[in-house]
Amino acid sequence: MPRLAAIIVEHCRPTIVLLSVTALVVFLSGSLTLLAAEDGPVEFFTSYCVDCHNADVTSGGIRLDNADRRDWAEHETSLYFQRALKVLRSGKMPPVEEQQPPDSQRDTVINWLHDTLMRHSQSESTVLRRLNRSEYENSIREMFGMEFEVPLGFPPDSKAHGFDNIGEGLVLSAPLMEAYFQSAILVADSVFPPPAKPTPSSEAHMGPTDLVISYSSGLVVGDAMRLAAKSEPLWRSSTWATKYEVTTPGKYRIRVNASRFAPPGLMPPFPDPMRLQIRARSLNERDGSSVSEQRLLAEFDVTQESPDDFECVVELYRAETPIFYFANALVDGDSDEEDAASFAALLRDMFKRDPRLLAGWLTVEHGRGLRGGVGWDRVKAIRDSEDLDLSQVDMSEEAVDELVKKMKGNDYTETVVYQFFEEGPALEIHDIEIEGPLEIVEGPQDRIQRKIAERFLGERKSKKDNAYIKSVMRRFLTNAFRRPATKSEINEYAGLVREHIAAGHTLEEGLHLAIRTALMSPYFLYRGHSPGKLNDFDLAARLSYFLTDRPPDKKLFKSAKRGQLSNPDKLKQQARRLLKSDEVGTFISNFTGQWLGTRELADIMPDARLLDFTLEDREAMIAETEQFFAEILSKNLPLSTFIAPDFTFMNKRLAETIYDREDIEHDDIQRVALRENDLYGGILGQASVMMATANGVDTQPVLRGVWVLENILGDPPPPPPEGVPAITPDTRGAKTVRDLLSAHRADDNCASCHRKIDPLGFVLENFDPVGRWRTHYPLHATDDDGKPVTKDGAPIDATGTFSGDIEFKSIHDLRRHVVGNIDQFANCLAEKLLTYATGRPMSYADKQEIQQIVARNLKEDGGFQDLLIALICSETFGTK
Amino acid sequence: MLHHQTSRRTFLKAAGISMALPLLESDAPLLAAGMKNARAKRLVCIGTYLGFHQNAFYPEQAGRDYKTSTLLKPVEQFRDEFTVFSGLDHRAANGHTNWSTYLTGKRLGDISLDQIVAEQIGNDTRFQSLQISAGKVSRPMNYTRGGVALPMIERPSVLYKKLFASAEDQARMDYLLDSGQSALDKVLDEAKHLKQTVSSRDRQKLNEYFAAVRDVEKRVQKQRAGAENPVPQVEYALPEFDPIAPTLMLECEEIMYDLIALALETDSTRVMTMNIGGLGQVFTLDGRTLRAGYHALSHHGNDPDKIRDLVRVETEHIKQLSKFLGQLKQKTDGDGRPLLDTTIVLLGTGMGDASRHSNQDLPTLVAGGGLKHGQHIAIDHTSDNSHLLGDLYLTLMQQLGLEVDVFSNASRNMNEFLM
Repeated sequence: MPRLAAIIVEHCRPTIVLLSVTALVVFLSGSLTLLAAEDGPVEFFTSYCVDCHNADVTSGGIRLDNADRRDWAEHETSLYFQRALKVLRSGKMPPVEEQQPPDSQRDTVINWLHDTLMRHSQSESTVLRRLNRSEYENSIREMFGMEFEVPLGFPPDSKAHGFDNIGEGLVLSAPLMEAYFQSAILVADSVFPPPAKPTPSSEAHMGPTDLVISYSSGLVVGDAMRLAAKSEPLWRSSTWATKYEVTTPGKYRIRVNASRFAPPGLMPPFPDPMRLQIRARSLNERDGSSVSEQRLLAEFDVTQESPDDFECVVELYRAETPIFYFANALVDGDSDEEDAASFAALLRDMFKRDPRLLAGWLTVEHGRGLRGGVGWDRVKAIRDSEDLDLSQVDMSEEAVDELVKKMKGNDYTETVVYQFFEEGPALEIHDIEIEGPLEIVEGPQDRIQRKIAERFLGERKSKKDNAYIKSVMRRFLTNAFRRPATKSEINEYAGLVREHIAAGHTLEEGLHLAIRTALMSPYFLYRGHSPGKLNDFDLAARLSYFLTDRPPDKKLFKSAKRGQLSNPDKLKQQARRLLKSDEVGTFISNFTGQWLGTRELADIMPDARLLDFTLEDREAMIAETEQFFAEILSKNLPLSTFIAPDFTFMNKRLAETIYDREDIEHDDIQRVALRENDLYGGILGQASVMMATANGVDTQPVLRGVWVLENILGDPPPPPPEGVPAITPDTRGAKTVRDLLSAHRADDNCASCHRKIDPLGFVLENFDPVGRWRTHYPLHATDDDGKPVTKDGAPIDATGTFSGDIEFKSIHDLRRHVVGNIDQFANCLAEKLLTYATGRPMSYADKQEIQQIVARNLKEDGGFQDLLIALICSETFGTK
Repeated sequence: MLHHQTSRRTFLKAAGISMALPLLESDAPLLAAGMKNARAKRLVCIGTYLGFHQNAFYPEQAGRDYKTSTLLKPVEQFRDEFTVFSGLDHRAANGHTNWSTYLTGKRLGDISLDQIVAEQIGNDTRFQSLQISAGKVSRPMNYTRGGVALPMIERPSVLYKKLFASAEDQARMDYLLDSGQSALDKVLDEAKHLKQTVSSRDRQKLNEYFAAVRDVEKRVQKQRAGAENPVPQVEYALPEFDPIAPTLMLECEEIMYDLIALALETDSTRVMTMNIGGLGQVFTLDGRTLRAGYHALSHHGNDPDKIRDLVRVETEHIKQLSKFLGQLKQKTDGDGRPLLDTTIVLLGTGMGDASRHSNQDLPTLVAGGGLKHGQHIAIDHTSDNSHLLGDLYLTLMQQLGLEVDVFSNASRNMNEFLM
């Protein structure tokens, strides 16, 4: 059970922090004074808590006998005492049956904990934050205006506090630095590629046997390649030279020697000129690409039965080769309705003209062997047989109808076309000559590269070398470092370039080196360099990487440069603008992928006995969640919409296989109104979330319960005690998971957490591992023939008592509970958003601010977008 | 900042660039302890998309005294150097997609055999592993531990360039390393400067940066020193064009086999795979153009004419394998032993019967690698208890010195047949 293990490992945070020298100093200078002054917490804890919370007895995983020896600078220590503070405030501790402290002492300790937590929150600023992989890619794309992906094998980022963009989790390892080193070369080469040598002009001569035949695209008969189909996939209709490929973009002369082949006979006539098209295709593309997508170079009318030359001078680019295509051929092997109808009409015409052919097709054995030339040989043998007695063949209209109806698909078109190759009408290609490059031209790849270089270089005007290099560096470094480059930085980089030139290299090589250098600079790779309140540029970067996963765009950067972002109205304005951009989609997929765990779907392959799962299913599930989130955000819907919406998103397949609906017709994901009594919907009922919180084979209520506490209610349980074995599902179905978990209720130590965890898991048990509603556990067995069958096993029991006093009977009760305590969900979501945005876990002080923002939002009936904007304007967001 | 819509973004393909700095390949994983006991040192996995016609591939008799089957005739001279297996599979579901379970075991997208092996034995050579294809292929064959499908080199010229850099390429590599050194010096200075202005926690964080840059510096220096061991040069005449046209797939396959042999001989890598395609190409064999494309032939529906032509094409694959085994017997490793003695060659497929798209009962052949050969091992794949293809893979891995006893759904091995 690797997933369970992983969760437990993440769950088991080290709670015992050893006293370090620095911690001692912090402690002595801070809290101890307070302790001494006011009959402090140590005495309070000793009197009321340590009987149950000490080194030996750690009820609830808490010990308070060493409160004075903890390192408060640690986030974990803070979380630990936040829990203590929570139970003290709620009056849940000390338990009612134990001796109670006087209110004044309780208040003193509460205040002390609050103050101490607040004071230590300041040390929890974001540590220097490295760009993660997608931020790095997007930064390079934006800087150079080009497409860019890191090479394969680029080291992955690790997660901390639930996300892959958290400062402390983003380690810079040696292999990663090597990857940056390599990747910087790729980028620099894209701007200033090493010079390529042009190839000298040459003449290539191709006969019919030097041409490609694939599927039934052509056939060599005598001295000609015959073409007879106009199917759209080029490998079913076109031909091209097997050994010709352009390496230098340029003008080329193509000469084709072609003729018509349409002898009189029983085949359909071809009165029109035969249209020979020459198109250019890249050999790096799939062989199955569409003909119409290939660049049309020339078109000729072939009208003579005798070979004739057709010549054109055309541009061909790197990796291209010309393809030859009979554009008005009679056979159309495409499967769309219109083409299929035209093929059927062609067959009827052929059958009318030649009853013996019809008889051949009616008599031949149909089946998989009947394909291509082999198939045609067989039909032909019957047609041409002296034994064929037409009176013995049923050639009634019905028989013809049935035959034509049957003759659909590649097997038949590939067979029929052979008759055209042999008997016409077909277009014949006798030979081809290609000469060039007659003249070198700029190909599309060169044009793209030139534009990138031009953009990088800017206008030189009349600047001297040195001034010019500096101007290039100023612009480049400002983009790379996301703030105006300093004078000394510009001078140093310009110096680097000049020294390189002085050592005998070109200007381009010098700039190539400057690009490689800056892309390894700590000013590019890290963000958030200065402590305290963020300056305008750091704030702009935090905002843009948050909402768009990339560096600030021009407008945002300009606003930062003008010092406007410290004005909340301007900040809001920028945030709202970015929320409307297309790039916000990256934020939505990154954030939901991690908060709701939908990224996990890539690693889960559902049990084939449950579902014939496809990649499209996975995409549709994720799209539902993302579009749902996007809808709430863009329409500024209330926070409760996440839990209890009246709509969701789905396509036909998702509707039919998961949600048991038959009224969705489109393959595209669309907004769908939920019907009364629908059991799914909202994040506590979406297939993606239910699948992500299971393992593809069975559900584990504890995992889902913990997941809901952490991600919906914001109340993560403490780590489980060590040495508790994972539960092995009983595959024979004799015991339900509930039976297996009954131990939790029997043991007090377990019950303290599991009375919250288990009911949340149980109430979600109706959702199977792929998110379908179920009323029974499946029982997999085999029938008498040994075939696997699935039957209903034990019924699902979703009931439970959450937290000791809240009854859950069905999923509706859970949704009702969360909506009834929507502040809890809103706080949880807000904390996740700011953790993602700031790259650090929320400190005690941060949480205090978040609570205020959430409370205001709910009081003012605000929507999700309002909340997000308010969070962006918070002190938490604006501080390193 | 430059701001562009994704759709308008220009795309620069880094063709020919990936060959730069082969020594900086990837993070070197831990070397398994048992590697010293390896009896085989190299692994080559060949996969054909359309598989092999079982009736022509499998000998009728099991055991040592089997009568050579039609398809095995071209490789008969190496009878004692290989073992042929029938009845092995991963118990994976049927269909085109699951072809890609050939090297992964039951689950699609799990790490493939070659990559498990490469992690362990691939770290002393210039390339941890190389993946190539003959013909354009539609299904991936190799997956990393993270489930990423690896791309394949489809052009012989690109593979050649990667393996045997020209003097020109070597010079450029040296230039990039030398100038890269001054780039590293510069950014180290920047980091030192930055260190003075940041908080103490950030200073600690920056230590990661310093350590990483210094490590890269060391590797750059090591590689520059490696100039005394330049990239190997071989005498091999590549054709002037890349045989990537569909009808030239068999020619491509032949050249790729030659390059695999050269790569192993020069110890450029020890793990190589070749994915052999199979689409609609119509081959001309011995001057006769076949009457249907390769793919159409594989859907033979038991039509004898089609099967005959299909077996003609498949015979070409076996001829090429035979030629390749011959090269491995002739070429020697550093100790003067035939390469074949220490190279495991696996020929297999994810397709049991292309005519029915069945992924069961996969025709498999293993040659070389110091294993005990000469038999047809017939496994009854309808029995629940019988050996899985993964069991064979476990034996191969153990022969390569890996300490593994589980692969996908398999946890036994087939040592009793091969060792």
